[in-house]
Amino acid sequence: MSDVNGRELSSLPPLARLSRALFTALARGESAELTLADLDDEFAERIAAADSPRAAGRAYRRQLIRSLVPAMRDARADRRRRAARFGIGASLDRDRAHALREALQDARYAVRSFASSPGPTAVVLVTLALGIGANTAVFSVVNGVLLRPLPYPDPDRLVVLATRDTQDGDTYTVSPLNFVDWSEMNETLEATYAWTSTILTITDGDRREQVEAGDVSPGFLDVLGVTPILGRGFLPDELGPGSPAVALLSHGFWERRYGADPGVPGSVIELDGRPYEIIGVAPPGLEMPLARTEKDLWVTPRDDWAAEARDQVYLSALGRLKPNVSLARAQEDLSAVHARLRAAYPNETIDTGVAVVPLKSEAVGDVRLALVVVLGAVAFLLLLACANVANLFLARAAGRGTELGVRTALGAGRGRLTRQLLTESTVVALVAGALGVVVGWGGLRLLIALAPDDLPRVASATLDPTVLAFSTLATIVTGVLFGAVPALYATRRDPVRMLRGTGRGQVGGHGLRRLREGLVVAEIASAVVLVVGAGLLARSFGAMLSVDPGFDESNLVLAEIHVPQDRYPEREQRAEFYRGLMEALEASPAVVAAGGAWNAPMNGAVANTGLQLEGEPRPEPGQAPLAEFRIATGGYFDALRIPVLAGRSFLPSDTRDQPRRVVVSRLLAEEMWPGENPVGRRVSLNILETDGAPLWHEVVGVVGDVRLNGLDDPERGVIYLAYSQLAQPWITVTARTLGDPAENAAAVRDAILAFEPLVPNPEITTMSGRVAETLAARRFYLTLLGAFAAIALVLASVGTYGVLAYAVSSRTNEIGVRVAFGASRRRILGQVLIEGMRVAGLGVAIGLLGAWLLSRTLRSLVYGVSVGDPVTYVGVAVLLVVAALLACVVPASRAASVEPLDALRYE
Amino acid sequence: MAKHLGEFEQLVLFALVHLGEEAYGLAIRRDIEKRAGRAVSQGAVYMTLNRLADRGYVTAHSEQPADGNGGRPRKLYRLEPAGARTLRRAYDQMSAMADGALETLGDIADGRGPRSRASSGAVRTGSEAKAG
Repeated sequence: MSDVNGRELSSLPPLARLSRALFTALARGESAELTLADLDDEFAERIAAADSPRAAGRAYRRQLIRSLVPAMRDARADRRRRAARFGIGASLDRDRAHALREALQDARYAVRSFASSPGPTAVVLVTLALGIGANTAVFSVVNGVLLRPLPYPDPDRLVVLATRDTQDGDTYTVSPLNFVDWSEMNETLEATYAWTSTILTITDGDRREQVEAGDVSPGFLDVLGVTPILGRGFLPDELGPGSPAVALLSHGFWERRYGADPGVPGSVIELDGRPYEIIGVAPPGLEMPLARTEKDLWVTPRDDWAAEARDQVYLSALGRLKPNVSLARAQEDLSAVHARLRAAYPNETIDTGVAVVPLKSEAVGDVRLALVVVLGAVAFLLLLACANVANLFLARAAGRGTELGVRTALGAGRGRLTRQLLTESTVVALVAGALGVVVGWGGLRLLIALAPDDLPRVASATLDPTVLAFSTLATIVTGVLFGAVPALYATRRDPVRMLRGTGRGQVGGHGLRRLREGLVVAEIASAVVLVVGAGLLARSFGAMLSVDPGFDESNLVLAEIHVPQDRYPEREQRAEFYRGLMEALEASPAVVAAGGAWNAPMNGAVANTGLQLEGEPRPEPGQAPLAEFRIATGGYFDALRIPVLAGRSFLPSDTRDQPRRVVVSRLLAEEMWPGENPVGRRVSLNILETDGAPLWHEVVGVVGDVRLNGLDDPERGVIYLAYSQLAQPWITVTARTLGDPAENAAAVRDAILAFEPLVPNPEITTMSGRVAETLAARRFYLTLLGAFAAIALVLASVGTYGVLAYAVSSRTNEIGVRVAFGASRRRILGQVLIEGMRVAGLGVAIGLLGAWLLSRTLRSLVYGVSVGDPVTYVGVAVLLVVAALLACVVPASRAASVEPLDALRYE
Repeated sequence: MAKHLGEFEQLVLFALVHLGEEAYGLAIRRDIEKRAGRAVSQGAVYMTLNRLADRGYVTAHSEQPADGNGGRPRKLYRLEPAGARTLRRAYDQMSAMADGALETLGDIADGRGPRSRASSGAVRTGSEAKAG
């Protein structure tokens, strides 16, 4: 490169050179020229004064960037000046019209030249469209789930109130008494409410129907900041057993059951045999924060919160901060309140604190990491796409030496040629952006369809215009940058040399090739990172699938049943109902074994209790060993094929008038009675005690361990109580069927309804379906990362192929000569392969290092393998090397089959 | 044409005064950077010079190539009488405004707040301030 005075500016660093080319292309006029001349002078002076080229280059670049806008403005002013001087306004217009014509001409030329090589153009377009589309779709999901504000007024003021375990920092639900005290004693919250989910049965009318309900305290609508569209919200005294029972309907339920009748408020609905006055209808689309199911209605709580023990925790609580109160201030305030409660009730508040958490972070807590990982992966993909496109552009420009030489010789200026090359890359980026919109839109639909149920708010995610603009801009910038590099190389040579054709009309030579190889190394490295990530997730998934859940999930039909409470109000009646129901089910030809449990595995339930063993001192409050507890029928263990290891399971004779009996899991038996036979020992469950007196349960059997909530859930000690002694108003029927459970689901339902027609619509699922649901999130992230990794692999292979193919074709001549002088074909083949493997090997090495460094972010998503799993890393390395090898084979064999005569005639 | 001079225009005009016969683009930028201690872009210098030329405050002429400047013709700028008058007026206005305000300015800048009139003694008149 030479400056305006013909001096060599070869010591100008590449970035400075690039800036110079962009400046020349964008700013014209005398000021721009003078500025360039001055800066070139200055650079030369600094180098002469022994400044480092890097520092001088940096100063040069900074000056150019800051001078760009003034220079462009001055050029415009200059045109105006000239127009004024000659009194011809038309001159300005002519100037503009000329520039416009030139741009249009460039664009037309670009379209023509791309159309003449449809193959490479298609590759560029598909690559970019995939990159832009995938990025846009994924970011739209992230935006919808993580970033978009919650759909309530002033959502930033909504906070979750939770109990904090001061031992391990975990947060959990809230006790009603603490909630009431927190609400009354704090100074920083405008309103609060607490709630719990429940399922109620509509008992009036001809048809029984189960509805999803929320037991809520009166502050519900005040906290969320919404008003009913009909009727009123809850009044402050509508809490507790003394107050009237009232219900607020959801908009959907009101439309569905009442046909959107505006006269509904004031009427009565009977739920579980109790009349509730309908007070109003909530606005459409009102979501209950943190609720796992959509609610049909909200009712005053049926339990007397004031009568609960202070250490009974089962409520979720939310609050709205007063205006201008910070989160820290509220936390301080509530901590002070809770400290007073701890002083007043030391025994019931052991190891507890209060946590004030923004609702937003609580709502998205679990999925944040996974989404960030996916976002990172897709960003890699975009980078890879950009690198690929840059590479293809470079290859294209490199082959155009002759054309550019001719045009320079015919008088095309450097600025003119640079502008044209930039126009070409911009045209491509714009078309790719348009395709990217289509891909992004489809991708988003696909993501929403594939997303697991526990990904909050995903269904309402929309294509994000900001993201789309960003992705497109990123590709345009790539296009411009890498359109500019070849422009720089292409236009710096003098036309005679270009036309004389050292190396068949190519430009760039060694530097350009190094740049292209560097890009391929980067591509392969990115692909390695993505494939390693996907590989680790795939290995985790495999590890999970091979986990034994402790029960046989096949052929199991589950049915959620609510006992009609008006018919069976007493425990004894319900116990009798369950005994009869199990007999009826087992009499069905479709059913092999039937049982039932309160909280069958894989339903996400957590219920634990402290234990006290007979003959041992009562543990201090908070020190009791913990166990998960479940309630089961005797047939439950048969139906799930959970082995009975010692003693027996429950029998019909374990009735309420008998001593209380329990069955424990193997792990719990080992923890509580190490090395002993627990059968015959007695244990008390804190949760069932009244007045602090032990309530002894005799252990009658030991059963196998099960994974309670997902295959990655660690095995926990479980204590099973007998349904026949502690009959709940609900049960999950577990029926082992003869053959496919889906086909037998109807038979199970029929058997239940034949036994008791008043059971409201039992909800039927299969155990294998539930297990699959617990895997859905992992499957989703694995599918995404797997797809990205596959695309990355293809892109990196295309990149490798492109570079090698070009290297071979540009050396046809040389290869021909070597063959003519007796080089063997095998040797030439080997040489090309080695060249490809050198680039690929470097990329793989860098990629493995990068993957290893990034893998720690995956730690919580990986199961059963370490993030440094050698099998994955070695496997990926081999995979990438093989892919690169395949990409090298075609160019290498082409090189090996060069005929010397053809090659020499080629020029 | 507006008589008002922007701050940067004043800097450029002062640089022309300092540089005299040697006032070309790069020298002007360096003079401002040296004296005013702030980074200036070369493009802005040229844009400003052209604007000042439009108003007749400066003129430009090309110098024949000589040794030591890379052998290219340099474009030299000269301050015209109209520019000198306008610059003088702008400076006078500014220094009249600044007179007597600097001490208080320093106090405010140091976070001590403006002195109350009572504590700083008698109210000073404009002429006294000028004399001081």
